[in-house]
Amino acid sequence: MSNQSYSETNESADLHVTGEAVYVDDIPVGGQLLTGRVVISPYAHAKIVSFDLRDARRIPGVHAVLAHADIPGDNQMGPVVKDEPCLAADEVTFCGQAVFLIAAETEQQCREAERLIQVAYEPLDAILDIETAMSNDSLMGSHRRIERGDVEAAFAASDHIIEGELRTGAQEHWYLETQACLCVPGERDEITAYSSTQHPSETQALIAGVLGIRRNSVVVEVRRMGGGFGGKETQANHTACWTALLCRATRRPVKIRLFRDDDMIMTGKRHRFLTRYKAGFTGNGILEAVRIELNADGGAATDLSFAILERAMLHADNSYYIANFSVTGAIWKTNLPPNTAMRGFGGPQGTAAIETVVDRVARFLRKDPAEIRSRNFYGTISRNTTHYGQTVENNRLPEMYNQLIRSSDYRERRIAVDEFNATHEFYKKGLALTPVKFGISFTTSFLNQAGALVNIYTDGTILVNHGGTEMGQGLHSKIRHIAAREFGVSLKRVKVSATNTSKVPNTSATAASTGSDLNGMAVRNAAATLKSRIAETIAEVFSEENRSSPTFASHIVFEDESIIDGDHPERRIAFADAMPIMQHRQVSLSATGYYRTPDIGWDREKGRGKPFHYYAFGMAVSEVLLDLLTGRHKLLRTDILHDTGTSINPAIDIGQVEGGFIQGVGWCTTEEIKWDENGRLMTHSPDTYKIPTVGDIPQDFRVSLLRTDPNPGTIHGSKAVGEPPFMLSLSVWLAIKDAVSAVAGHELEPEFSLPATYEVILLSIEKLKAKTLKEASL
Amino acid sequence: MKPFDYIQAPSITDACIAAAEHSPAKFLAGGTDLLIELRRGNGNYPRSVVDISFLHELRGIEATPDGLIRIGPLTTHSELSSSALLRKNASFLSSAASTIGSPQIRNRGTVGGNVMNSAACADTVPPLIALGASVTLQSVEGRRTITLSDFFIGPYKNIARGDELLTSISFSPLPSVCRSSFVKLGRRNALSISRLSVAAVLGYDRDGRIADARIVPGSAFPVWRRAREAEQMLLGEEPSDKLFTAAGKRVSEAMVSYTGRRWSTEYKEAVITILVRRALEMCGRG
Repeated sequence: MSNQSYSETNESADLHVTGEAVYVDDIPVGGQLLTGRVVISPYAHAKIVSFDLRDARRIPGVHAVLAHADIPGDNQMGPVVKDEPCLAADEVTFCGQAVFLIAAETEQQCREAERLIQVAYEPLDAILDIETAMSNDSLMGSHRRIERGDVEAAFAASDHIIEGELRTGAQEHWYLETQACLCVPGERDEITAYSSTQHPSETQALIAGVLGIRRNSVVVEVRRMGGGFGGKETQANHTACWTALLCRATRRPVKIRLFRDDDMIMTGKRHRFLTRYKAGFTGNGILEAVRIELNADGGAATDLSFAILERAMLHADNSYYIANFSVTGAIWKTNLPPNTAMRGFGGPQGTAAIETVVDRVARFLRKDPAEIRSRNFYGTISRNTTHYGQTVENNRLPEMYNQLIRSSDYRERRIAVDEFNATHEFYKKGLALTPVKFGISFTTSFLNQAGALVNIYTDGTILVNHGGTEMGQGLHSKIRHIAAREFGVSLKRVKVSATNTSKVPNTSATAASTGSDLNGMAVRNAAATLKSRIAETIAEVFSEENRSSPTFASHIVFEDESIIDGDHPERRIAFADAMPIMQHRQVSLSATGYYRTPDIGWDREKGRGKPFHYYAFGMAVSEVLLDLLTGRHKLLRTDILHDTGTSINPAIDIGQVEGGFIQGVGWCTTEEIKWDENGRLMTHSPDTYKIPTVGDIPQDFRVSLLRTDPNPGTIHGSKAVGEPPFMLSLSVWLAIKDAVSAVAGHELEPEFSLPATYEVILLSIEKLKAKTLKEASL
Repeated sequence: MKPFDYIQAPSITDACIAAAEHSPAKFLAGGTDLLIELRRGNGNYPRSVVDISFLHELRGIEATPDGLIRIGPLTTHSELSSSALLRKNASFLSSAASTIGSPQIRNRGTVGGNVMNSAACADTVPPLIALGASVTLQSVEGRRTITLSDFFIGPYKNIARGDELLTSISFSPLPSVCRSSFVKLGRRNALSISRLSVAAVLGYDRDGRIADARIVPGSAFPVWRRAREAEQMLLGEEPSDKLFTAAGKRVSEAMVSYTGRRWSTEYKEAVITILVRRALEMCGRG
């Protein structure tokens, strides 16, 4: 095995392609299986006056119809704050909230029973947007603040000031596999849940909670998810809890797999934000003072909103040094489904705010926005501490900027775009470069830990269990690679098991892009324990054969499928042949590994500290062609340069960069969530909610990974890659804005929001044209 | 999915008998709309589904001896897109079919299904109306032929009874002096449902004046219709940007007067003007 990273295909690629990969709905169950159904609230806010389940319970084939009073344990599934009932009791607080559960032999019987449930609601006033929540002081928790310097004084001293407001929209996760869980009862109160969850340990804890049993009676297993994107970090728990309740009530296996429309109606989204900003800057475009006020739509319960707002606040600087900086944040409680984690976790919303500011500064000064960006980048020696006090170490921004400006022919294309715009009346082009600096670690510091259990069998095969979950991102492929490399064996020898709470307990969610970082290190630590045992034993064997010059255990190396004395390379034994010796000599071939991220610490109250182990960097240049008369645009070309340290698997990392970017393009352009005036989701299926298709990727798409030194202090020198590229989609959003701005010769600031749908774009153009006419007539 | 009887009909006559005897029935062609409707499970849920997808006599595109083009309702969108006969005689119908959904949907979905489902955004309907197409409906009670402009009565509504099977769509080929076009705008680049579409035909006389004008917008009116107001403006005129824009504006005004103002109107009224102008431009200048 060389030390060079290489691109092995995804360990499940053949199964994905042939359709043999097993998801929750594919697990074979005997004839006992019941189908579960969730009956949801049709009101955004209402009192439950009365209900009658008797008729529904009488339907043949129906085994259980449950209401909140039938829950044997706590009626609670809030992950952090206990403000989210598992089934609504006296009041419903959003459309799509679970009220009753049904288990029956067929889906049809479930629906028939649902029809016969009689429930009387008394509708109450509902809060359906951030402004209404603000005017009703419907605040969740308290206002948050992170500050540095004296913003007011710096505003007073600034050459120029801009102020404004930005709206960013919600986003649906659109995992291909909807929320799903299969629960199988065991003896006494044992239960096994096969859940499509990013957080098996929390799922286990909440199932135990609603059933009123101990956690050692609950096993949660995840083979793989058909996509997560944060949507299964906490909200997979819901489906799991409902399934477990029905399983307990019926003593039979029960499965719930939400229909797409129900899933979209019931589950939370990326938080909508309403952001207000003010910035003071010099004539050279250097930001002197910035104030950003972030307002998030939290929905009806807390979920992870505090942590999401915090990450938004910690990314309101993106890649820019701002000497005087005030970031405040608030979460507003509304009568919509509780909003939740989604790729970027507040980072995109915070980044969109500062990118809007920098873009406006450049337009105000009639300067190239890329140039203004680079002037404000964090420095490598000075101007390199963030507003929360962490030093930006190993800053790649200046180097990446120089490389990407060159490799994308940015300057030539800027001229070409301007020329095109000067000669075209009905079409304009736009070009934008945006960077990302993304902090890697859970900002709730204690979550930065992971465990692994590695077993070697006497035929020389290795089974790796770890706490991370596979959701299509290729975590298991990377873990397999890490294990093979640690033992110096080929990939064929290594298998990664399904994630299982009885093998590796008390894990954190696979989230915050940390899956490979944390679990990879835990696996390496488990492997180190096993290797030292093997080295001791094999050194003994070698020494017994060579009494004159003993082998030192510390000099044993693992490579080429062999265990070798580094001092005497002729003393070697095949890895597979060594394992029976271990068993005969009574040495354990099973070990756990544990890892916690060192050197981080974050004082949430003071807004100061080092929340992140390191930063991942990226940069993108996008060019669009805009049809001014319809608002339709085409993404002509995107160049991305991304920093993954020494990549463990470049093919998988490039896949994550491409996928994250495109998912971001959806958020920035076509994905629009709309609720009606009663709080009912209007965009609840693919005919009205438009994620990007293959037709929407850039016509010319160039992604490369930064050639760089190994990242210090991480698994095999790699960097996290799951979320950071998402933010690069802002290059598309701002390229569209650049094209719109060309309508008025870049003299006026366009009104713009996110997503920039065809409609938003066209109306922005119309307003610019009207303003231009008005100014011309004055 | 709720249970229903599934009947595979070996002939058109059998299909009609089955639909009459097992009413309310739905005919299954490509299934791209019906299966979604069945799974949704609400509305007029059928007692039976009569599968006509094996009836080869309902498939294909041909020139009839009396000079018409006849399309079997089971002809798929893919087949419409690649038909040389259509490309020559009604090219905008091919173009419209090629913009529907994805390759999978175009391979399953049929023109008959598109017509019978009667969605306001059905992409094959604007060209068919512009062509003056007629549909033939058959039931145990007999056969009737109706022009498409009399067929639709509202979104997802038409005059066919539940037991009537669409057996043929026919129209006269476009005169050789005519050019046709189809443009549409969705919410993204592919697999997109039309938010607005326009089918247009222009024919010129020897002096280069417009002698034949047909404009049919999609997703614009509550009931499918030709934009006669705009067509009238064009007749006898020489083509120009100004004329085409004026025609677009006329369609836009008509749309607003028929549908009233809604949240999407501000966008749609600007865009329909442009789409009409572009559709007319694409028909050429004679």
